Amino acid sequence: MRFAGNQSGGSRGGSTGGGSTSGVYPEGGRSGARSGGGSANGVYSEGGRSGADSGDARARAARSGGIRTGGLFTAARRNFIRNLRRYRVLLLALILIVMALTAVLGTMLGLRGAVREKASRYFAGDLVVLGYEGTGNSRIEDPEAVAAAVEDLAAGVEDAGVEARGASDDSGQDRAAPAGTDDATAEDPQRSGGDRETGSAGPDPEGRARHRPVDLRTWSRRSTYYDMATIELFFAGYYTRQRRMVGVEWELERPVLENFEFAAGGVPEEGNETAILISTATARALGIGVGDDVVVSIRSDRGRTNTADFIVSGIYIESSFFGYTSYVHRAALNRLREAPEDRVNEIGVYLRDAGDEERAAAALTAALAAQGLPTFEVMTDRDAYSAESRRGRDRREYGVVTLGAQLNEINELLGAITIIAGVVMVLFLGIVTVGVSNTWTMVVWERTREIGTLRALGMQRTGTISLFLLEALFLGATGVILGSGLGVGLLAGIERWMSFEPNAFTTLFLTQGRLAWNLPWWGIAGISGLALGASLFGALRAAVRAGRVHPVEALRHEK
Amino acid sequence: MKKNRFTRAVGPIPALLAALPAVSSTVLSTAWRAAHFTTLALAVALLVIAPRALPAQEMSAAESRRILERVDALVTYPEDDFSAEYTVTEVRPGESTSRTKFVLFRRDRADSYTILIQEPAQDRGKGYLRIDDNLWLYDPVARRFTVVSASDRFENTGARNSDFNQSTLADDYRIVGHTTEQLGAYETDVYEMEATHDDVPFPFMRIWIDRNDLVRKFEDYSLSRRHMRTTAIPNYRRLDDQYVPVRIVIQDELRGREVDGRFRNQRTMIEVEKSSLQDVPNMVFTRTFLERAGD
Repeated sequence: MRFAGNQSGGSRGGSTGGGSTSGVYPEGGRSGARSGGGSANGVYSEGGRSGADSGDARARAARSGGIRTGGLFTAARRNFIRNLRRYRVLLLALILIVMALTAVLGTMLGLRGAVREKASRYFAGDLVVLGYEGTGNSRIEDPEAVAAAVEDLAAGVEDAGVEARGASDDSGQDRAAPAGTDDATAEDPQRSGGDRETGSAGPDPEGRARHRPVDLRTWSRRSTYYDMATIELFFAGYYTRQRRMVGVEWELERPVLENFEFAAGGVPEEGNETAILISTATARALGIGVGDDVVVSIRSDRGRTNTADFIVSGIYIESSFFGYTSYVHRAALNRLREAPEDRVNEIGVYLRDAGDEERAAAALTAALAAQGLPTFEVMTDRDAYSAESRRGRDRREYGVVTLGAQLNEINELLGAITIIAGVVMVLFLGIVTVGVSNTWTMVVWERTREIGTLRALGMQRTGTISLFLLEALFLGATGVILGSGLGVGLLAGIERWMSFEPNAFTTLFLTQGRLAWNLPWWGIAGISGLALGASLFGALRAAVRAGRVHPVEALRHEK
Repeated sequence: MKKNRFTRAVGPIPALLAALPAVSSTVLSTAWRAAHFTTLALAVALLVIAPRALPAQEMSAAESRRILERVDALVTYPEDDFSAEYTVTEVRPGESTSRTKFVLFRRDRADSYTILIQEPAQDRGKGYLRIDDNLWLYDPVARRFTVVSASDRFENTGARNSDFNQSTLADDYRIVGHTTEQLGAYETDVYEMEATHDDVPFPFMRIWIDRNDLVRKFEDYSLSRRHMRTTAIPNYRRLDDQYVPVRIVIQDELRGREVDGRFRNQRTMIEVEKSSLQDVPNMVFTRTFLERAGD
């Protein structure tokens, strides 16, 4: 009997239609041989045995959709393993594509992370509060109010009033609302940003609105001087220019500044007003080391040439755009600038979760408004940032600029690279999809007899479709597991064993001269989804056709 | 701790003495050296025995202004237009020497000047235009004007953009101290000055003025009194009743290199040739002129 012969032959032949039948029914093969209809038992699980002896049970099974998921799963797995030789090219392609996708995504996210870390130190944080009056220069006239807003951000308090805070202030210092600020302004949602999405979590027991607290690494209170033409550093006749001088409070920003990769020295002690942190690029240009004196010359806020002596306390590794920055104590920079020693130009916030940036920006704007400070919209792109800094105002207003806005160009560059790489990979995935489609069409054609048998034994159309889709899912899953494993291994290998020569461009993206990678769960999930989706999509047409096969015609099918 | 010993302020006389031989070795002709070397040697001997400085003297604001106006008047041409060819040679010890040639047109009565760069070739057509207190830099490649400061370095040399403007010492500074000194062959009054406003590159200055009211040397200081640069003017050319400095040596007190075991400061040498007080067309002091000249 051809049918029986096929069954027994299947156990030998492997990839023939009959052989698959045997594979589909792992235990039921023999019983199937005994009972004729019992070959479906392996798929039908325990119901199969009784079904082998009882037409009622088979009918019940058929009515109920026929196939148990566990049985289908096992059958698909075994079919997949048995047909591995046929799938090997497809599988290899899928593994390579998943590996490449993993490597590209991990690298891009790593590059972005490295740039963000450097940029956040450069720009004073992931979020920066700036106060503009229309001159283009930021100044924070009431740093304590902004600091209180930062505290509220961390605590999740949205509308802590100025008076309430003043009363509970441990220092006992009352803060006055900034000049020209009134309650009406603070309450005006158009001005205050109070109607913006802040992840509000409703009022607390004291009636104050609350939002989900924002997890901060630390915050900064800086004086910044930005003038490439006039900031000069001198040592032993050598000189170099700096893009930016940053006045920081060492202790406040220590958690972030300590993340610098120091070639020598480190972050100065609290209150050290003669110390300076310079980059390796600057140190090389000057031929200077830790402990040496350096003369800094700038043009003060009054336009007068001023100089000061500093002692190099630390040299951080950086040759990129961010390397032309020197860090000194805020009071020292203010003296050099002929500004009041307590002048603050910007207050920044370092977030633990960069993905929280937009929510935190909205919450911080709301917290600033709640402190009675006049505010404007969150600046999330450079054009808005530029426009707000120059817009004429009759009083100083405060806004929050996100690091994303500061890094628009770099993000766009990395985004473009990611998109190009992604499109190429998706094209490859398309090719894999076509490959899967062709292979599965062939498989369905070769296994038409097997399909007929299954259908004759009561397997529903959906069961047949599911069986082939599950096989495709196994192909995809194997590709994802092996591909992502190899991709992660590749990334780890590059980071561990490959060191890049730093230059102005590459060091922007490198961490300690190496390519640090980052692959969050959503990245792996996305790649897995794409690969599995491509596999399933490729097999779908053939699987549906398998489901449409009429049992009688299928049993008469000849290859 | 290694001290930045090269950047310490040096005395005016050693600085000038250090500057002048350098002028002779790189710019001045052999004939000039032969003629003046003896004078310089005598000056050194005189300096050793001469009293270094007299006690500082009090001076009224009016007296201060009168002195500085006299100095300004000799090198300012309110009735005429001034034009000349300038060659700025930047000597970076241990490194290359660069040269910039340009033509300067100046109209002091309008507080304007136009500079048109001719060399180096890559900067040809580049220009500066000053009208009142506004100063623009024209880039012929980008065909764009950008605002620059009078205090900025001129083409990354030791000269400042303001160095090419008319002398306005009386408006910019007031004398706060006075001594006399023998400076080489010149008997000079040395004035300590401080700026009267913030629109000057350096807030403090020391100036050496000879008996003819010509500036022979000056030192610029930062707000924190760090000595930033020394300028020597060994030669003037007489034009009618006025004078034109024809050779200026600027020594950067912070920039330099150790060469052959000796620290040598970076120097900027300016030579002024073909100076003239003939009329210059009005359109030279316009942006259009720079745009056309840059084509």
